[in-house]
Amino acid sequence: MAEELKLFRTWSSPYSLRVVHALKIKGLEYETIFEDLSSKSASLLQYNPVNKKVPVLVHNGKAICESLVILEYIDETWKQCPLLPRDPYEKAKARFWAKFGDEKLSSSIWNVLISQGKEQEEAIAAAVQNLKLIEEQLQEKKFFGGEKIGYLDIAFGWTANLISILEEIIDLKLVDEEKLPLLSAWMQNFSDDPVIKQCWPPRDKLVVKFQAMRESNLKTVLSQ
Amino acid sequence: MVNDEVVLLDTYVSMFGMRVRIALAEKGIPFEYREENLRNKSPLLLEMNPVYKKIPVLIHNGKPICESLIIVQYIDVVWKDRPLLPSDPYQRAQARFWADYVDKIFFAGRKLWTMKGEEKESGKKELIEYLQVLEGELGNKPYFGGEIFGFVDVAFVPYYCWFYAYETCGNFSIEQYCPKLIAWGKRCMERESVSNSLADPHKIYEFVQLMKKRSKQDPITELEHRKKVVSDHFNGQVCTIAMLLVVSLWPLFTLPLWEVMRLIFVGRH
Repeated sequence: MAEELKLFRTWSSPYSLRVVHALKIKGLEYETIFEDLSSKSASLLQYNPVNKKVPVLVHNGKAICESLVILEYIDETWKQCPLLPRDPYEKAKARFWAKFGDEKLSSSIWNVLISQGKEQEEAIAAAVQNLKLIEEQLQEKKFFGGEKIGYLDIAFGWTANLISILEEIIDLKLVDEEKLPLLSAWMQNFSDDPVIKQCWPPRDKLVVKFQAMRESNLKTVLSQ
Repeated sequence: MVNDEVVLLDTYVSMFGMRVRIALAEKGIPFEYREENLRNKSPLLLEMNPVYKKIPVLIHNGKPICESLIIVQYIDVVWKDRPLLPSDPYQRAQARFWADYVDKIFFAGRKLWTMKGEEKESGKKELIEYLQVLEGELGNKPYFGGEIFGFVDVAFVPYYCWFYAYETCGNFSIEQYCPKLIAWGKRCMERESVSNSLADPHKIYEFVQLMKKRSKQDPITELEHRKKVVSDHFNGQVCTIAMLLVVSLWPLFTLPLWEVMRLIFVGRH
């Protein structure tokens, strides 16, 4: 049966990029629909009426929402190139760290972007501590998934892309090769992977976008 | 699985812990329950969950699993009898989506005792909205899982024993907005795994009152807050004498007389 796969995404959403990575690793053909979140399409609102967000994967007319839920769906539906570990305990650990990445790690990175001065120094210390915890999960492996890219590499993928952009904007190093050697190497290995490399959004556009976010958040803080 | 050692670090009132208790009970898995004092966390908890230092933690043959929904999924895979998640990938994705959605209630519900005034009201409004969305998803099915009690039911039903606290703090009736959810809650309570795992709603309410007492603003700060509300209302203009009187007389109704005298003659310090 011909599979119909559609992905609703934005050009920059790191959550959408996870789904792109997973689909490409599995070698799946799909149609991309780019959304403008300031003017959401009727289709997006129909497929994700609850959260009204991207990404949404539509498979033969059925919608799956929330990026980590989508990753598990893709892995369970298409068995080639497995993404999640088979062992239940390892699977639970992978899910735990993906959630940590989305909650504690990403909010600490965000705090670095939107702060300055002493507040930013403290934010950086907190972010680096969280990054160290991630690095410990690598344990000398090339990828979190082992020899190949897996679920947790895809879940953390946004760090390989956005942290260097953040570093450029604030003109400070967050992932130091000396202090975080394994994580630094992983970011390089992940970014250089031929499947991943072709998917990155345009870097200059991302710099502009995040620079604007930083400025607008700093202005809001100052005016309070 | 005869020689499995299963330990659950938990607290009586935690809706997250209840999920794990229900899952273990549904599968008939014997386990050791350990009640944690979150103001004095055990070395075992700190060792088993160093990242968040939170409950619940399931320790299976010495290995820790953290985060309630991750634990329930782990239990579902390791002990295959009486599956909680459906086998079809799309149905599983739907179940995971809705189980995640349920936790929006936690953050909205908290506002009913941690916030006052407008923020509290907005928390109540949000809570009702999320409950109505969940009621819509339940529809006329006996359970979120359909005919069978499943993953989303396990994720959501612990909140049912928190409804009394939400209603009392927010001064509203959930049944008025979501009658199907109340019927569903009662139906779930007919299962032993649920009735044995859920806390007593009155004990939950007592717990909430204790939390509220511990973080309650002192009356002097309350007065400052009211002064600000009044002056903001008049856009920085000098308050009318009537308003000043209302604000000034407020402490008479909330503070002992000696505090009022101290305020008048000595001021805030």
